[in-house]
Amino acid sequence: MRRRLPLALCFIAGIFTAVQYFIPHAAVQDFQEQLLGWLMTLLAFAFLLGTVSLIRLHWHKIRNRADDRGYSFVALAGLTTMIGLGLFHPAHHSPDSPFNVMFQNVQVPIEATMFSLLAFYVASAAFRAFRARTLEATLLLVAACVVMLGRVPLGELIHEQIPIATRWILEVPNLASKRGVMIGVGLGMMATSLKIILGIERAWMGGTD
Amino acid sequence: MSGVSGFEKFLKIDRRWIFLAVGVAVVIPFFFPLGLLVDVTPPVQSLYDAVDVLPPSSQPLLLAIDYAPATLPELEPMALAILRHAFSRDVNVAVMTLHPAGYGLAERAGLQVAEEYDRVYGEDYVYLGFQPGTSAVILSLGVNIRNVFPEDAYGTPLSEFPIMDGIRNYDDIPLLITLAGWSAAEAWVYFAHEPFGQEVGAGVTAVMATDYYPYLNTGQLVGLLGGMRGAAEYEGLVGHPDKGVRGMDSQSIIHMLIIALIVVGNIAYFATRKSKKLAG
Amino acid sequence: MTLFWTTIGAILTLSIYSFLYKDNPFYKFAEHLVVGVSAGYYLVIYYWNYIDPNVVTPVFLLRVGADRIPLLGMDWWMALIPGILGLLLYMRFFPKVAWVGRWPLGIYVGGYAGLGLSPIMQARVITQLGANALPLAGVEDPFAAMTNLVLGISIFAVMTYLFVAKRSMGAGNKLVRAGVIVLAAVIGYVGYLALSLLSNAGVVSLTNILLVVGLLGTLSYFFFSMKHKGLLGGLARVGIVFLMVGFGASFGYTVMSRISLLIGRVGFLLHDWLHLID
Repeated sequence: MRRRLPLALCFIAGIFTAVQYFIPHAAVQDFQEQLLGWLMTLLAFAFLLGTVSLIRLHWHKIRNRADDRGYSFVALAGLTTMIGLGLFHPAHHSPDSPFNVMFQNVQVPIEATMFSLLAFYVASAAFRAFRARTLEATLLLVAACVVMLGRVPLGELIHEQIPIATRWILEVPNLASKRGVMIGVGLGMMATSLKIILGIERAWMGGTD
Repeated sequence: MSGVSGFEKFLKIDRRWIFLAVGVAVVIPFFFPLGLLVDVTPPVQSLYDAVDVLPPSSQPLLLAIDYAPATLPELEPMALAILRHAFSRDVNVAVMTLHPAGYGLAERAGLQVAEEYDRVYGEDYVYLGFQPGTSAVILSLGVNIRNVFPEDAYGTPLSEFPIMDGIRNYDDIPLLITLAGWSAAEAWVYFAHEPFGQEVGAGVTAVMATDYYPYLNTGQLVGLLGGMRGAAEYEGLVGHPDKGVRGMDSQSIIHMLIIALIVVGNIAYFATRKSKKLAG
Repeated sequence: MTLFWTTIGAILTLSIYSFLYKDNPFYKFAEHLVVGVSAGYYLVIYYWNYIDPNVVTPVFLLRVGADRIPLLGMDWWMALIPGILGLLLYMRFFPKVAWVGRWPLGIYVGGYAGLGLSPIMQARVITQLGANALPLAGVEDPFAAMTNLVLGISIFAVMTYLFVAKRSMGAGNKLVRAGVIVLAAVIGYVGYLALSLLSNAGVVSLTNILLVVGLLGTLSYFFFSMKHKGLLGGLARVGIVFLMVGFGASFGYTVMSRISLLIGRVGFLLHDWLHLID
C-alpha cells in the first residue's frame, strides 16, 4: 500500500498516457479525455498545497516570535486581503474589481521590477567577470558582443555587416549547438520519463518507508 | 607601479557606480530619443506574414498570453502589436492563458486593444481565461476546446458567442501564437504542433530566443519574436510604434555601455596580470 | 483614483530599486508583500477558473442546470474521484498518513511522464535529426550548400562533445560496442554527406538508416561514456567551438532581455507615473 500501490498507479497512468497516442479507439480516447481532466485537477490541488505551506511557514515565524516576524505579517496580510477580495467580493470577476486593481498595481510592479534588477548585476558582471582568458572564453565574448551590437539599431549604423554577422551566428553556429543540446536533453527527458514510469526513478515518493 | 595600482583599483570600484551608469544610460534616451529605425528580421517577418494571411471575420487566431509580470516589458508589447495587427484586419481573436498570473495580463491586453479598435466582445474577440495543467490543457484543446473552456473567463457558455460558432478544436484554428517567458512555448510545439499539426508561432523573452532557433529552422514554429527587439520589429510592421520601438534607443546605449565595460574590464585585467608577472 | 494606484505601483517599484544601494526595510516590505499577494492571487484564479466549476459545482450539485458546465462534461461522481485524489495530496501534513499522498502523486507523475514521451521524442529528437540531414547537391546557391555542410558537421560535433567527451569511465566490452555504434554513426554521416554531394538519389532511404544509427549512437551515451581522443576527440573540440559561439549568442540575448525589463520599468516611472515623456 505504501510503496507498491503508488508505483503501480504511476506505471499504469504512465503506460496509458504514453500508449493512447497510438490507439484511436473511442473507449481509449474517452478515458484519455477524462484522465486529462484528472491531471488538471491534481495540478490545481497540488498548486494550492504550496499556499498551505506558505501559510504554515509564516505562521510558525509569528508564533515563534522570530526577529523578522513583522514581514511575515505583511506576507499573510497580503495573502488574506487577496483571498478576501477575490473570493468574497461580489464583483470579483470584473476587471475593475479591487482584486484586479491590487494585482495590477501591487503584484505586477513588484514582480516586474525584481527581475529588472538583474540588468544592473549583468552590467556589473560584464565588467568584473567576463575575461578572455582562453580561446573558448574569447569566442564566447566576441560572439556575445557581435550579437549585442547586431540586435540594436545603433549597431546597424556602425557597420552594415554587423546585423548580417549576427544573423549568421544565430542561424548557423547557434542553431547547431542548440540543436545538439536539444536532442541530447530530449533524450535525457525521455530516459527520465521512462525511469519514472518503470519505477526506477522514485525520488518523487520522498521518504524511505 | 602607480599605473598598475590604478588598474587594480579601477577593477575594484564600488559596483554601485556601475549601477548608476546603467541607470543614467537607460534614462537619458527617454528624454533625447535617437529615433533610430529598426530593421525587420526574417523570424519576425514570417510571424507577421502568418497573421497577415488570416481571413477576416472567420476562424479565430488563438492567442495564448502565457507570460507573468516578471517578463511583462518584453512580452506585453508583442501582445499589443499582434492584437493591433489582427484587429486592424478584422481577424477574430480568442485569448487564453496557461499561467495563473497571465489571467489579469491577458485580460488587460485584450481590453486595451479591443477598445482602440472598437471590437465587440463575443463577436470579434473572446477571453477564455486560465486553465491549469499546461500539457493536459494543450492536448485537451486538440480534442474539443469546450472540454477545457466550456465557458469564457466570466462564466458565459461559449455557445452564446458568435465568434465560437463551429469552432471545435485545432482543425478550426488557423494559427496559434504563444507569448511566454517559460517553457509553455515549447509545450505548444510538443503537444499542439506534433500530435495535431497545429500551426504555432511564438513570442519569447530574449533569454529564451536563441534556444528556439532549431524549432524555427524545422518549421515547428512559423515565426518567432525574441524579446523587446522582436516586439519593436512587429510594431514597425504594424505601423503602430509603441513601447518596443521606444525602448530600442535605451537598448542601443546600454549595449554600448556593456560592451565598453567588457573591453575596459579586460584591458584592466590583462594590464594588472602582465605587471604582476613582470614584478613576480 | 488611477493616479493613487499608479503612485502605489511607483513607490513599490522604487522600494525594490532601493536594494541596489543596500538591503533595507522598504525592499523587504515589498518582497514579502508580493509573496503574499501573488500567492493569494494564484489561489483565487485557480479557484474560480478550475476548482469551482470542475470540482465544487459538480460534486455539491450547486447551481444544477444553471449556467455552469463542468469540464469534460463530467458527471458528479467522475468529478469526485480527482477531487478526492486531490485532497489526499494534503495528507502530507499529517505524518502518520503522509504516505497516502503518494497515490495521487503516482498518477500525476506517471501521467505527465507518459504524456510527454512521444511528442517530445518527435519534437526534439526525430524532427531535429531529420532537419539535420540537409541537401548539399541540387542546391543552386553554393553558399547555401556550404552552410548546410557546416551545419551538418557542427551539429554532429556538438553532439559528439556532449555525448562522448564529457565524462570518461573505465573501459570494457560495453565501451567497445558503444564506440562501434558511435563510429558507425560518424562514418554513416560522412558517407551520407559524400553521397548527397553527388546526387539526391538514395538520400531519403539513407536518411532513415542514419536516423536509426544516429539515434543509437547518441543513446549509447546514456549507458556508457568514453575517452576523449582520436577522431571523436577532434570532433568534440569542434563541438566545443560551436557550443561556445552558441553560448555567446545566448549571453548577448540574456543581456538584451535583462535590459529590456529595466527599460520597461523606467518607462513606467517616467511615462505612466510622472508623465514626463510622451
